[in-house]
Amino acid sequence: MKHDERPPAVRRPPFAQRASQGLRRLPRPDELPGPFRRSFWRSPIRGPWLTSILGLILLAGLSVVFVTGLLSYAAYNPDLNRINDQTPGKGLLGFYLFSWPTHPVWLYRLNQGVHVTLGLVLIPILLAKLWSVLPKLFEWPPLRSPAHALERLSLLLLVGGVGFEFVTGILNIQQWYKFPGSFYVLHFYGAWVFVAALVVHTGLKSRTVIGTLRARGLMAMLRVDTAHTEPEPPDGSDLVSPAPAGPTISRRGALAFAGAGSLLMLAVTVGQSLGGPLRRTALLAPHGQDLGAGPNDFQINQTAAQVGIRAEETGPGWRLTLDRAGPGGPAPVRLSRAQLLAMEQHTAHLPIACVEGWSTGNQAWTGVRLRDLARLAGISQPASVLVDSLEKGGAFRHGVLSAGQIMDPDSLLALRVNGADLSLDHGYPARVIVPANPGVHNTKWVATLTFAS
Amino acid sequence: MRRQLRWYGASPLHLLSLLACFGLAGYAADRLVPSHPLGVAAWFLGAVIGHDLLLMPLYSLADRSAMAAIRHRDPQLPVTPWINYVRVPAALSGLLLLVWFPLILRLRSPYHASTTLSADPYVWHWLAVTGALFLLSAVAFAVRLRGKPPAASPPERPATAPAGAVPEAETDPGHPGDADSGRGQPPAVPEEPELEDRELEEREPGHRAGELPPAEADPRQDPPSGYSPGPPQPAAEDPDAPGPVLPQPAGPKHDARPADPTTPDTQ
Repeated sequence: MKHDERPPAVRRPPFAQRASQGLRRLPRPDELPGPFRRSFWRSPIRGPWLTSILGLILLAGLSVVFVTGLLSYAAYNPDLNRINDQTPGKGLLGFYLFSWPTHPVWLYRLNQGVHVTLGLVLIPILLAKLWSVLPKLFEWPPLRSPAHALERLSLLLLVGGVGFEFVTGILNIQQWYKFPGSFYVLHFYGAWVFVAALVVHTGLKSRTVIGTLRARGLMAMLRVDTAHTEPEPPDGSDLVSPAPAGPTISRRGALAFAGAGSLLMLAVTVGQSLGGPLRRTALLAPHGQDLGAGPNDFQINQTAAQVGIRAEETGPGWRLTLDRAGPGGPAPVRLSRAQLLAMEQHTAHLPIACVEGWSTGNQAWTGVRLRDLARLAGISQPASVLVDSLEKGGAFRHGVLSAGQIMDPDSLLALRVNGADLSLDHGYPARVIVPANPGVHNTKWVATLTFAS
Repeated sequence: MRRQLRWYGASPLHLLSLLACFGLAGYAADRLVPSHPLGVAAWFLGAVIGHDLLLMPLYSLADRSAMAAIRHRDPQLPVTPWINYVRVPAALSGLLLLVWFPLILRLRSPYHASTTLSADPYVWHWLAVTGALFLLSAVAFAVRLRGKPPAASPPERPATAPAGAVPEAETDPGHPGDADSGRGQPPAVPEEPELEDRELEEREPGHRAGELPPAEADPRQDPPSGYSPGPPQPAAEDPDAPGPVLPQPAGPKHDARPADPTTPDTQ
């Protein structure tokens, strides 16, 4: 790194001169205890090459995780209605939002599966990368110039940001909600803090990475076995140990080590997103267990008991209310479940996909098309519909669907699934199912549909 | 473009990039922090401290302890072939625990209430995967030991190493800053007793050929000791500099080695 080099003594900037006069009173690095002494760090494989390779893998992987994360936010259609927006203060950070499509029907399933699974798979690479640069944390002198100070501050955002994003994501998919506040708020804004630091870090390090790979090559270094593994020549980066121990693992061995961690993480996780017989291979993923073989035995993420749905609310007395937004117009239409079943029924084969990354294969949902219900409410060209559930609380007791989502022929108010009535935990008496929609917006236990024109 | 600002210590582009970074991060943080400022700051810093000052020192210590323990039990056992067969399954098992501890430890959460699934199997799944990893590792090690050629034949690298691959990058003759300069010339008695056998092996490669499988007696496979981050030993006491029989020279010890790096070992 050019900017990491200490300026030549003959023309040092005034700051550096003053700083070095001040620093003369500080101990020199070799007088310091422990990790501040360069010779404390002894791995012969630490150096710009290994860090560059790990950095490039992370850059590619985290870019995908970031983009799928942004798409995941767009999938909630937050601009359609404030109800849909978990981060209404987003301001400029929502610059990219667009109306979420309904096709391909597996779009959200793929997006979330990639976001969560790839994030998990990158953990070993991230840990290896952090290990490879740890001596940098103990640089001495800790601040050499304003440039150095600012860059170290950006590294705090980078490392803190990546840790914050990974920890909140990992805990959220296990529903261990110990983080300080709404997951959506923390994970969305935290991602922008991290990405701001990642972009500048990528820019500042690009010369080092390109220069290192040009100088040492990729395959040439990968061919070196443990016995022949030697430190890289010192480059002033603080990464190469001045007192290397003998190698216990080669660089390719270290990369294979991290790669094995990634493969293992993939193996114990990806089944929860693939579904079918592979679900049981997800030995440690939250939705890696089969529920059975019955028509309603697919994954659930919110039970009726959990949200306080009482039996009498879903019994014969249940009515669906079809309303239209705004004053005036005809009185609301109220329909019993029998009346809904008497209407024209359609079957759509659609997955359930959760923001947490798990999903099911396609289920055969049967019910009334949302656009037919809009017409029944007196609106043939709906702009949106507010779906209200019997749920008493929670951010997703209601949601708003877009015109495109209402008009899709596969968008249903489902009454049955896989040939049977919906089970209570899957939303009996009726639930919304819309292609490519996030699971929480496929509202269960629907009470009211309010269409707007 | 690379012209430096005297008062700043880097180029104007460097300054502008960082200011843009802080602008964007500040904009996001301004929206993130207000709800729980202390909590968010604590989690952000906690992520740094938790990894860099807690997790990483702990696993480094575990790694070094494992190597020391192996050496202590049987000083003739070379660490290198052993350690990775312990290190890899242990680290992978630890990784799974690190990520899935809320499920594995059955911490209180709405998991069962919302999914109808039980968290009970996870601890057993984790233990089973851990067991399988160590078993696989043991099998791989056994296969490697058995697959070794008899002592007379030249040492062979594992299948992953192309025969005769000579790392050109490593033939760099000068390590100008190498603090270990000259220490490859062995003192008669190494300073650290625990390293004695290893040092001897390196200097007299045939030394224990009758007692050890050839793979272990191969000094190229048997680099001395240590793994980063080492104990706070001053460089000048470091007995770990590669010995003179290593085929690939490290820095100034170069001249003590065979000139041709492809020269077969004395074995």
